[in-house]
Amino acid sequence: MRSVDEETSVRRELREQTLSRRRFTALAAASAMAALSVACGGSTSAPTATAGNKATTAPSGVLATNAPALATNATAVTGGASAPAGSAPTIAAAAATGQPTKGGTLVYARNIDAKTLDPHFSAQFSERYMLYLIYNTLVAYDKDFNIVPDLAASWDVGSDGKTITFHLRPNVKFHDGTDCDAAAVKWNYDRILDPKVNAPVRTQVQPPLKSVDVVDKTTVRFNLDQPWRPLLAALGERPGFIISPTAAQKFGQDFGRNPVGSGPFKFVEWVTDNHITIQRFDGYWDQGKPYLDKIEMRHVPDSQVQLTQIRTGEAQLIDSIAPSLLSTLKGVQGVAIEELKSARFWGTQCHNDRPPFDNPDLRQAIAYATNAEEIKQAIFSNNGRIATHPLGGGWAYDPSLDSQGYMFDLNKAKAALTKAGAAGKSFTFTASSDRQNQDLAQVLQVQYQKLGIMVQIESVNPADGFTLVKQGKTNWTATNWAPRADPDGLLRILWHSKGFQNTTGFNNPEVDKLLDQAAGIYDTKQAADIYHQVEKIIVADASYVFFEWPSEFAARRTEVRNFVYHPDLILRLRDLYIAK
Amino acid sequence: MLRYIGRRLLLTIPILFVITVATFTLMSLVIGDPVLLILGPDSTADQATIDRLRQQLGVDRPLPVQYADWLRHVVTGDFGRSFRSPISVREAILARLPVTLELTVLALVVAIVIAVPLGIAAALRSGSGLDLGLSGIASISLSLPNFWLGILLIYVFALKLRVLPSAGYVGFAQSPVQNVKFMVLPTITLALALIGSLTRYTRAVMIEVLEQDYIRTARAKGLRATTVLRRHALANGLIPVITVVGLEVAGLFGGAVVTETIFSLPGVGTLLTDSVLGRDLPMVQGIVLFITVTVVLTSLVVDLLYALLDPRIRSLYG
Amino acid sequence: MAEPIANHMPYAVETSIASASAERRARALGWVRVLRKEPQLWIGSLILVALIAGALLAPLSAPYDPLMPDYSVSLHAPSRAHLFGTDNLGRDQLSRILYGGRLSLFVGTCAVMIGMLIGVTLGLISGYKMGVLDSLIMRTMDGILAFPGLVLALSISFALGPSLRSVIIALAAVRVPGFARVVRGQMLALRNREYIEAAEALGARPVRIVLRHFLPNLVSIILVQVSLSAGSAIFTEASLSFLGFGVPPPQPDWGGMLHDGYVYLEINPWLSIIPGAFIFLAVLGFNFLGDGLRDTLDPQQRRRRGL
Repeated sequence: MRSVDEETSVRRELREQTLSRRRFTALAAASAMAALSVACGGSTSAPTATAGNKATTAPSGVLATNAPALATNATAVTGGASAPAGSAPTIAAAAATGQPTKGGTLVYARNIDAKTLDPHFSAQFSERYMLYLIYNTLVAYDKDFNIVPDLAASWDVGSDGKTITFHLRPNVKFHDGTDCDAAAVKWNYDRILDPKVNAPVRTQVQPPLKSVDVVDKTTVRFNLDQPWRPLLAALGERPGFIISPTAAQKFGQDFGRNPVGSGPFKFVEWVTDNHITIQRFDGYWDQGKPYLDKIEMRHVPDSQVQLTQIRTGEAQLIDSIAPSLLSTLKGVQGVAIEELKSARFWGTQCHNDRPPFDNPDLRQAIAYATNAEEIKQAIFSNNGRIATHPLGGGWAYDPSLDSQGYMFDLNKAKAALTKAGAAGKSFTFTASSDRQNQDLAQVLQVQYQKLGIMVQIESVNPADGFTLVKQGKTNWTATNWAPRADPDGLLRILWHSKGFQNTTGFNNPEVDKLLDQAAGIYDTKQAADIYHQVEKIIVADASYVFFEWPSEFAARRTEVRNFVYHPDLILRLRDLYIAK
Repeated sequence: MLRYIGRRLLLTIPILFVITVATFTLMSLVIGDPVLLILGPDSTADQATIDRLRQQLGVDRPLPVQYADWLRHVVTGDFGRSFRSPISVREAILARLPVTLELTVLALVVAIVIAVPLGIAAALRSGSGLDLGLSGIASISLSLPNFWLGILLIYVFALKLRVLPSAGYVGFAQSPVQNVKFMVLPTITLALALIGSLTRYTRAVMIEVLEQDYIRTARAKGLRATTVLRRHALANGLIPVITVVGLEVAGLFGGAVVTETIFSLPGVGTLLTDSVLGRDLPMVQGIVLFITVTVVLTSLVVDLLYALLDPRIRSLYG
Repeated sequence: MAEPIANHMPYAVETSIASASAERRARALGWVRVLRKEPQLWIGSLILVALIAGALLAPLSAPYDPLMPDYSVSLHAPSRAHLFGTDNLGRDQLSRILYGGRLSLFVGTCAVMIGMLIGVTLGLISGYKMGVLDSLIMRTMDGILAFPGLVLALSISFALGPSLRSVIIALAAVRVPGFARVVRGQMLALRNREYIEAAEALGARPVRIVLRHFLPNLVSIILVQVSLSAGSAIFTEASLSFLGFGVPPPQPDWGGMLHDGYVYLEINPWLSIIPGAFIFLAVLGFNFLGDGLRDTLDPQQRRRRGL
């Protein structure tokens, strides 16, 4: 039972990101979004070039340098962030202001669907915004999903790849004054791995994680069944958060409402359906940080209200803005827009193991007839990038694949269709009844009409959409998946024959073999080569047709500085400051 | 009097029964298995786990048994727990209720304050141009879709003139001024149709009263119209207007669902639409039941109140 | 809130029962004179005729294919090329309004017809049989009436999933109690008429009595109810669509168009204002027609209610 409510939360998330002007406008964008958050965890906004960040030993090339200089943070780090013309001057101004100033309260408005702030039991999307502020993870990610230090200053992988030894930062304290040391870390993993505790995050680390040993006060050793690189990425998100054992024992069941970690902010209060407030932790190990005194995450479910609040300055930060509504913020004094060229892929999926889509020619015909340029224009307000393969970001991203695969070509499509003998036939496309998916279905319907097939659109309730996909009751539908920190995450769950989100009947022994092989390789360069091969096989099969990596948008008041958009789409607010 | 109250109460019981059965049946029709719904798509649970959960939830029992069990809980105010949120359905409804109450009460007050004088004016000059005009406007306002009106108001006052917020809510305790600003447009939206029907109703009742013998006598004695109105007609004429409140309460709730959605007010209505979206079965069930029971009880109270105030009914039942 | 007319104005329905001479009077007056005397009747008829004609003639009159996107013109304001502008996919709004009328009017009338069939049948049974069955039916109707129409429709479409069928079922269910009540009420008023008593004395079969003697006397009141219900049904259908629970695309309907266009209120307000205006017109048309019919058939009522 990985995540009971993950799906709902993700849907809600998407709902905000898509067209929703009102809470009801865009229903959830159901389809295959489910475990989006499972593997997207992430870092703090990088333990920048400050004290306490002692030279880290990079084990076998996994560790990349991070630490962009503070002054350039606002622009450079956002992974291709660019500001629309209207807000350019303000961005420049932000970059020009050098030194972070201390103090102030940040009001961040979003839809809060949080149920618990116990990271090991967390399943909801918005919880993670808070978790990254209250806790530290063992390791973190940079903008390319490279693993960088957080609580662990460095780590070594044993020669057989079956042990990973973490060297923790010394003198780290939890908010309750207790030590965040090797014993505490071990206690956390004993908790996670205990079947009686039944923490939802367990399946993310086990297998292969067997046990965790204390070596000395600041050293822990993770023992694995087999070499498994993706474990490191998992330790940058939910399974990687270290909670205070003392507090967890003290509060028991209520810990989720009384969270205690070692992060830069400590918990103050949580008023359900209203706000969560946290305040600066003076004993934070990273000297001089954080800059803000307080962060208030305010529950504003409606994206239109969020937009109003950022305009008036009631809120200083919002995210997940629908591209179609961006224009309402253009030219607004004091507001800057941030864009992330996300690596979330959008596509269609069909069952390649049963009629009619077990016919490879038919799948090819459809792939060739899919006009990604048109979809980008119609559905994504001409933002984002055209996708042709699953991995659109991170260290395994291969730009050379962008120009391969099935590029729109109606002649080739028609030829393939004739070969398949399917001209003039009718097919059912299942579409979630939310706005974006319905628009998409109608755009595709017309595109495939030009190919020479009839598409019947069957609408399903957004909340049922993914369940139907899981149960194999849909044959052909739209899908989208957020990127995982480790490429194994997405590729395995969707395309390994035993992948738990494999809903297309995709079964390719070579893909299975390559995925298993790559997961044991800690060298990301080597592993990436294998993933490129896997991607090529997946693309060629055309049971998935890829068309878009959309952009994500956030807006901040211009006095909010140091904004960094993370590739897992979770905002890290810990290093923000408010310019005076 | 007691007999009337007793009769009225007895009538309410079968209605409540019908409501609970209808709500329960509807929800058990919901496509899909509640267990799978709870587990979510990422579930890797095996059949044994699913069976155990099914047993825990009691969904493996025959429907009448489930109904009886559900009813037993509902009567004690236990509507179950939400699939999606950590709080119970009752807590969720109670948390959202103040907003809905504020909206509906405001709309009701505004409607009465505007409609009653208009209705009386139309009745006093029955057949005049004023009467025709008012009646025409009332007719049109009854056909005006509230969501369209809301959108027009938002467009004009929030997007063009920028004098009022388009959506959102601030509690009265938090900031009375802000609260009023946020409530202006929703109140108008919800009140308009009510103004239409109340005006019509008041007019009809007043015309009837004005034709009664004692009023005619009073007028014949040479009393001025306003005096007659003040002394006699108003008192007797306005009592029936109370009943309208009882009759409109269902419509008010229906309108509140739409109004809250347009203006993004965190009330019971938006909780309902959100829950329908998220297929949160216990929540939908709880809210629907809550709304209908409230409607039934309100009309009960209004009827009893009416009986207390109206001497004719009082005398009828001794 | 068009609902109050049908559901919550007991006056409207119950007092209009009174007049049995209504039909005769209408016939005597002649329709032309009626139309002149009853502005509501002809305004309502005129609106409806125009809307229905527009919908029926859509294939001839629509300037574009209502489903064909043209991304080069997305979200255009009204212009000479596109009189009502274009939506986010660049589809012509005028064409969609014309075709959308088909669905909106069809769903509304279809639901009312089903609601009428069930409601009238229940009303006839209830009104004729009396006793336990009557109580059972009427208490059930009271129970259903306690649901705000929209909430009931929302619950039903929640249970059945998004489809044309479930929307029609939901809307029909909401309309049943209105018909049942009106028919039963009128039956009670007719019960003691001589010809009914005579028929019963002659030992006619109940079904025959109901169909031959009651039903003809109920036609006018059912007609009024149909017209008022159609307005309410269209309104509720649009509300459902507006909330996002209506008939799913690609076939356009007015409520759905408004729902889709609402997102772009700031960029292209016409996308939501125009479909809303058509919903308003349709509801107004049916309500005027219904009110007009009632006033014609029952002049006593007219004086009471005004206009």
